Amino acid sequence: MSNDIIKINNISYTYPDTDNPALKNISLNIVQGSWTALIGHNGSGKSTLAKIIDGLIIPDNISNSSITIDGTVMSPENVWDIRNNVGVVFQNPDNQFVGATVEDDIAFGLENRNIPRDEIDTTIERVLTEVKMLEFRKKEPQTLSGGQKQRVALAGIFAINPKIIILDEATSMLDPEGRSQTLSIVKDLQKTQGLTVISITHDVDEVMLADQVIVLDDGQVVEKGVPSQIFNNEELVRRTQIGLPFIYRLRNALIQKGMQVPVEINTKEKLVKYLCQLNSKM
Amino acid sequence: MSKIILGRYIPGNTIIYKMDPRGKIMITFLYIIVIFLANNWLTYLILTLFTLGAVATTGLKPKVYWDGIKPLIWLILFTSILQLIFTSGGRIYWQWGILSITEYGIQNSIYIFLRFVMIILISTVLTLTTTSLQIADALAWILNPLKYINVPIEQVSLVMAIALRFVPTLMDETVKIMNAQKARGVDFNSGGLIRRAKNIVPILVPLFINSLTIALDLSIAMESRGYRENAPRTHYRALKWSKYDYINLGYFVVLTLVLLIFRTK
Repeated sequence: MSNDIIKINNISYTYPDTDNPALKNISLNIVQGSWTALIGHNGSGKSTLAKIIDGLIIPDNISNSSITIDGTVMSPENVWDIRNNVGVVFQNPDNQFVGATVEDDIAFGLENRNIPRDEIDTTIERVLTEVKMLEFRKKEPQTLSGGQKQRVALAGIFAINPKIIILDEATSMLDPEGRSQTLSIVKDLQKTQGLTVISITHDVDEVMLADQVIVLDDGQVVEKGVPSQIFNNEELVRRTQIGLPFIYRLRNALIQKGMQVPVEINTKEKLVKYLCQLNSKM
Repeated sequence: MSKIILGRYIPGNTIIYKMDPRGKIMITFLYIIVIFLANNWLTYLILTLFTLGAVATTGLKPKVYWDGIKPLIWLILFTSILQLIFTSGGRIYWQWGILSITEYGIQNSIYIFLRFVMIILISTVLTLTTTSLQIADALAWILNPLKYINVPIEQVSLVMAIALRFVPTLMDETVKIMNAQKARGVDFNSGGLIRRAKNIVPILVPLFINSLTIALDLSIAMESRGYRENAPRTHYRALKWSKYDYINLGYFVVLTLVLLIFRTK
C-alpha cells in the first residue's frame, strides 16, 4: 500500500554482549495517520523496535533488511532527516528533560535544527498552548509533576512537527490523571493533524485507543489485529500475559456466571446496551 | 540535606536582578582585586560604603548575608588575631615573648577583617541575585575566546547547563536513597568517623548507578531530538546588555577612581 508511513522489512537486532537476539526477522507496515499499540511482556523487544525506527540503533543484517520511513530508506547518511519526522517520548519523564526550564527544554530540539530565536519563541508558545502548559513556561523541571513533565516532553516533540510519534511507555510512570491527560492530547493531534502514533505500552486502556495492535513475544511478531481481536484471543492473552480491559474482564465474569454474552460486545456502550436489553426481557 | 545549597539564589526584582550576569561576574572579580588598592582608613571607609551600597541594592535581609559569613567566621577571626599579635611596629600596648599588640597590629587586623567581610559580601551579592543558569551562561560567554585554542566551549556550556539542571534531581535522588536506607536501619548520625564513612557507601553506590542510568537515558533522548555533536546550533537563551549594566560599570569605575585618588602612595 502506498500510504504506509513505516515499512520494516526483515529486521533483527542483537544487543552487544548477548547471544539471544532482541528482535528476530521483524517485518511490519504502519499506515499513515493510524494509532498502533505495540504490546508484549517485559523483554519482548518493544523498546528496541522503537529505537530502530528512530535510527538510534542499527539492525544486525543491514544488507538484507530495510526500514523505510515516509518513503525514505534509512541509511547512516539520512538518519538525521528521518529523525526530523520521528519524535519519541521516553518512559522516565525526569531523564529526558534537557533544559533547565520548560521553555529551554522545548527550545532544545529547535536549537539543534538551527531555528532562529524569534521562530523558537512563537513555536514554544504554540506547543505549550497545545499541551495546556503555557503558564509553566518559566518553571524548572523539579517544580513540575510527572504528568506535567511528560506533557512538556510531548510539547518538545510537537515543536519539530514530526509525522510519527512514538510513545515508549511514556505513561507508565504517571498517575491515572496524568496518563489520561497525556493520551487525550496525543489522540487529539492524531485526529486533527493526521499524526501517526506508535504507543508501546502495558496499559490496556491505552491499547483500546489503537487502530492496530501488534503483539511481540520473544522478539517476534506473534499477532496483529484490532484490539478486540487480540483481547478475544484467550490463548494469546494467557501466553503473553497481557492484562484485559475492564469490559473484557466483566464479560468473562458474566460468562462464568452462566450468561451468554456475545463476542461482539467489546465497548462500554455495547455492554451497557446489551445488559439493559437483557434486563427489559426479564 | 537542604542546607547544602549550590549557588543559593533568592528571587527578587530590584535593579541588581535586572543586570546582565556577565557584567556582574566580571565586576565581582574586579571588585575583589580593587579591594587590595585600599591601604588607609579613608579608602577602607569608602570601600565599605560602596560594598554596603551594593548589598543595599539587593533589598535582602541582613540575616541572609550573615548566613553567608557564618561558615567562614573562624577563618576570619583566626587570620585577624594572627595579624593582631604578630605584627610589630608603632606603639606597643602589650607584649609577651614574641607576641605583642601594637598600633600597626590593630590597624592591620581590622583591615584584614574588613577585606574578608567585603569579599564575602560582594560574592554573596552575586550568587544571591543571579541564578546558577545565568552564571553558567555568563561563564560560557566569558570563556568563549578559548575556542580559538580548540577548547570545545559549545560542549562545555551544554555540560554546565545539564549539570546545573540535574543538581536538584540528584539531590532528590539522594534524599530518597537515604530514606530508603534509613527505613532498613542505617543510622547516618551516630558512630565514629569510620562507621559514618562506611554508612555513606549504601548512598553513593546507588547514586552512581542512578547517575549513569540518567546519563544514558538523557543521551538517547538528546540524540532522538536531533542533537549532533559539533553541528551548528542556535541558542534560545540569550543574555542582553541593558542600561542597568552601565550603572553597574559606572559604579565600579567611580569606586576605582576614588580609591586611586585617596590611597596613600
